[in-house]
Amino acid sequence: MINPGNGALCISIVGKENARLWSGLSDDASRVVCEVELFAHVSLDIVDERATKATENYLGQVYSDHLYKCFAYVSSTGVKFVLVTDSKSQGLRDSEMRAIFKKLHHAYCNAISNPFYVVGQPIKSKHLTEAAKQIFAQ
Amino acid sequence: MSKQQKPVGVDAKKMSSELFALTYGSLVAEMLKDYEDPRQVNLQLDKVGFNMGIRLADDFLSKQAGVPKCTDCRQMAETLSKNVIPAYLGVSATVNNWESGDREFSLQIENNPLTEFVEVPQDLTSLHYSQMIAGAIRGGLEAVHIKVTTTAIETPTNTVIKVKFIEVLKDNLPAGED
Repeated sequence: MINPGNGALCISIVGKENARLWSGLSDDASRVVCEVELFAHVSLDIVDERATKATENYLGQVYSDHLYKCFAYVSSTGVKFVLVTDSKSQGLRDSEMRAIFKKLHHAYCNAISNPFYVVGQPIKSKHLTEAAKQIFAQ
Repeated sequence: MSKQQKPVGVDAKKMSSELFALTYGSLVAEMLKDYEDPRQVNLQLDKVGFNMGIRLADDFLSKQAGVPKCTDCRQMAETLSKNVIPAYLGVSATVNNWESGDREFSLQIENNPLTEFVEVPQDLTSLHYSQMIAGAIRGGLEAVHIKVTTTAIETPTNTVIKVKFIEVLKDNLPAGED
């Protein structure tokens, strides 16, 4: 799989009790949806483990295999943001990742501020879709 | 002493637009739960706005000394878009879509602070989310003896308030309740 950008394939937002709130896939991931989403889901265990010891919200790379890499960010309220990228992709410095997660966190805040959103339910939001689109296009 | 406690650069009378937007949003969401009918919610929001409008009319006229007396709909629309809406919502509005011989027009509010985070679900298309603003305009005009009907319509980019002039009220004072 040749990927020109940052290689981001999938973004998942998972609630405190591991309920999936939102997920977005890049066009490159459309053929391997199950695989990528499963990978993101599997990574959650490690995210939980890391989050207890972490000193900041950004957890860095939490898991990888021969195809994918997984980065995570946990908000202080326990919401987990997981980003799956292609394992071959380069140019993913921590500072860039922090910026990406910060942007996602901001979009998530805007999305849950919608008065018609019920807390804990899956999110439908143009804020998040837009933010994800920008990240995938980077 | 009290002067020093005030945060620098913040007008004590102004509130955060986010707090305002979230408060209004919760109000609408709660009303939808209680009334279960979006049309009923529109009516109630309109009533809330109307009661605000008849009070705000005096407030506005006392503060803005330079506003001329309106003699036709065009002047009225001009005052609403250039003075009233910026004074209370902090954003400007544009007037367009004149219809039926200058008796109907639309006020387009860009960046409506009420709808900052709002995404109205598809099954609630009959809900007029910003009807409170429309009601306030109706109330404000009724206080100066102009009867209009107003509807707030959300478009993907802005809020459009449709105003239709009905008549000039004579002799009867504005009612306290709708």
